[in-house]
Amino acid sequence: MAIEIILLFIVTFCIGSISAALGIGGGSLIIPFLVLLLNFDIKSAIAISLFAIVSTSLAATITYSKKDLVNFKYGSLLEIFSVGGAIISSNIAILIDEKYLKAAFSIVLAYSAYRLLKKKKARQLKNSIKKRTLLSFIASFMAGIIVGLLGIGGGVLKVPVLILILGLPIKTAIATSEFMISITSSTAALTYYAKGYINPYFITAAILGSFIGASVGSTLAVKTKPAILKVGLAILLAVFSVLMLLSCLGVKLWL
Amino acid sequence: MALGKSYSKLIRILMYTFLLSIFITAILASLSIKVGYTFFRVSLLMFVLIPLIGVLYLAIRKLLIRDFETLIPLIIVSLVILVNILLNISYIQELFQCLTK
Repeated sequence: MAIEIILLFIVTFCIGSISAALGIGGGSLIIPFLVLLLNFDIKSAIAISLFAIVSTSLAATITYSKKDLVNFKYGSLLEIFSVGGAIISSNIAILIDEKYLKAAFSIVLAYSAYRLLKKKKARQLKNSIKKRTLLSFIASFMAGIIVGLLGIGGGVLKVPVLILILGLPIKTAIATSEFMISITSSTAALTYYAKGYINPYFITAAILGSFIGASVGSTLAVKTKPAILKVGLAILLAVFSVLMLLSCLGVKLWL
Repeated sequence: MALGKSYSKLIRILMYTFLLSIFITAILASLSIKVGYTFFRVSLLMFVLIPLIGVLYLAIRKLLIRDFETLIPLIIVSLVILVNILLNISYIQELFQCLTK
């Protein structure tokens, strides 16, 4: 077990650094590493990932709220739906067969890779306030579902909602999204923890690894070109997506 | 002090406190000290509850300045999280029984 703990610390440290440099949660990298490389079952991997996300998002929230960038009003309003979604999906995920979770995760990875490579043409929505409010509630609920079901942060959905639908500036949107992610992921993590999917030693390694990694990563972000990191990450996510799909189909991997 | 800054301060204090206690109790637990293992699990539980504590703190601050627009969602979020805790109460009860033994 000691070797697994050390490996987990190294993996979460590296992923924490890359995630902080790119401004992503890191769950989409931690889970494939744990499942494909360290042979964890996907539910334990999701649980560990959620704890790592709590750690990194709290660290980010500390920095952002110190600069008064978090919009608590919008954050708390949308969080009602995210937390609800996370509770429902984390309780359902425990009952779902592992191969379906792997398949869903594979799709999300492929989509994340596509989003990283695609050039964004963001335009704020000009619909009526009622429509925009409803849309933001639905998107937040879906983000919560993703967090509880697949153990990823859900920032992919939350940030666009805050920018495109609610019209927040990018920095405020990212800060508010981190505040929201910390609450959603902690709620889902609690469910997995209580259902006994977690070895406390593994969580500790993941929390410390991602926390220290995130601190290093924010320094790394200044020195590296984000474009190179983005392409590398997109390729890695695409490879993981294929490997995860193969693993779900029962194909024995060399790992 | 601005709300963001005081919230940041609270979360930082809680995070470092629980990270330190996780680290110390993990060492105790790995030395096969039984109380160490129970406190280790409690520290992890407390760590995961930091965001809830943060939300409750924000709710109290908003209540003091009577900002009901933000207060109501914060209270609803807290209640929803508490419902989740109640759904998983058996585990938490077991944990505290270990502590009181």
